[in-house]
Amino acid sequence: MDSPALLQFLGSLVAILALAWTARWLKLGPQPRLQDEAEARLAADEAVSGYSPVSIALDRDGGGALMRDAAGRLLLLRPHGTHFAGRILAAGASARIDGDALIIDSGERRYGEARLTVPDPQQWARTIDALGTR
Amino acid sequence: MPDFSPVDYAVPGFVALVLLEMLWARSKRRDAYEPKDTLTSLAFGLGSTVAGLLTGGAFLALFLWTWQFRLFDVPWAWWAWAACFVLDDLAYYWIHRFGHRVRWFWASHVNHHSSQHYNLSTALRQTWTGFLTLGFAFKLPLVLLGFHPVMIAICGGFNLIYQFWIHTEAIDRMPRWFEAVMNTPSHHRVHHATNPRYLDRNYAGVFIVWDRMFGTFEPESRDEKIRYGIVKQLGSFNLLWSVFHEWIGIAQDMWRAPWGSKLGYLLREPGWTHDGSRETSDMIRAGWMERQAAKGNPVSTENPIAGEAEPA
Repeated sequence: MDSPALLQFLGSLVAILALAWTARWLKLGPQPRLQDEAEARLAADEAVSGYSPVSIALDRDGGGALMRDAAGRLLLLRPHGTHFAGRILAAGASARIDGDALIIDSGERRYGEARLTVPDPQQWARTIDALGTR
Repeated sequence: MPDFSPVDYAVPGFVALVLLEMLWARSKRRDAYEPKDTLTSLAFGLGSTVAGLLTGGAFLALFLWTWQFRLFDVPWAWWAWAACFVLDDLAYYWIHRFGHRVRWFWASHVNHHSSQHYNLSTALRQTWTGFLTLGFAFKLPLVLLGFHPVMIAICGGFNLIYQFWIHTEAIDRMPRWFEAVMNTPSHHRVHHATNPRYLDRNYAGVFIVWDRMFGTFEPESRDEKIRYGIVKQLGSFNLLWSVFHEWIGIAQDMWRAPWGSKLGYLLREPGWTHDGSRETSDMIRAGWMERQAAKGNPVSTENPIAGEAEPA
């Protein structure tokens, strides 16, 4: 890179950092919340078109959900920025209990883990761990 | 031969308008921006300018070499600029359509779509790997017609600048005559949507008439909330993963696939698999339409996606 190009690059870098800082300073990007099962159903259909849960475990604070459809597919919804990102859990997924929370590892490195406080976490953990034995 | 890059002059305007839209978001829609998403999108923009600096010279050289085989000598006249802008936009339509319908091209273009937000920072979320696709080949006919490569590059720059302002939710609809001819925030929101009815629609750059002509137009419905991003949302703000995830996915799929199916993972549409284990946009739309019909809510026949002559 020649000098003007390098200067342009550094100027742009400063500008993008300033813009991102401004977004933070303005308190943009609130955490998403699932208020109830109806919202969880909607979010599930948005994550996987046509996904229709028969069982929903909604996080106590609305910070995600775990659900199962009639075909036995498990869908994990966890916050990503101001939205939710979902994954159908596969054989690489695992779960463990931490206090009253269920920690779900999607098995997908970049998607990572989710921490949900849900009713009957042991049962969900067993269901997730059983995916590897199918 | 002019040495002029319109995008360079537009950058301060881009920054000012992003700031303005953030202020709008603060008062009306705090969820329209997310700092980490903004940083990722803008880092994409910065990286794409570096990629352009590193590879642009090679493409200009290729275009100049091709220009010697031109059929006509197109002058630097006003009408030539106008013709070049329109034809460049037509080429853009097809580059863009291939960018969505061929996974090799999608691996690059997905970068522009992988934010779950739709704001002016998303406009700057440009690919780093465009040079790895054959998008440039769609502009070679203009060179062979006789348009000078620099004229084509400048028109392409203005095309890119036009597309900046349409990446917003702050503008609802433009006047009817404008919506009929030009690409607008409303039309382009549809393009960035992952709602089944909107998948792979509205490829236009500047003139929406190309989508109307080639059967890929879909109007924005007031009854359906748009959700943005990609069918399988990234779930990560990691910049390098965001840049390269689809290229890595192609490599993994080709490695694992049986010999007869390997090329399909490069040349077929995104979502295609040899064993049907994933869904393409056409499959997602077909499933959604079936479910709508089962609910007694069939998609209107006036809707282009219900038509038979839909090239997708």
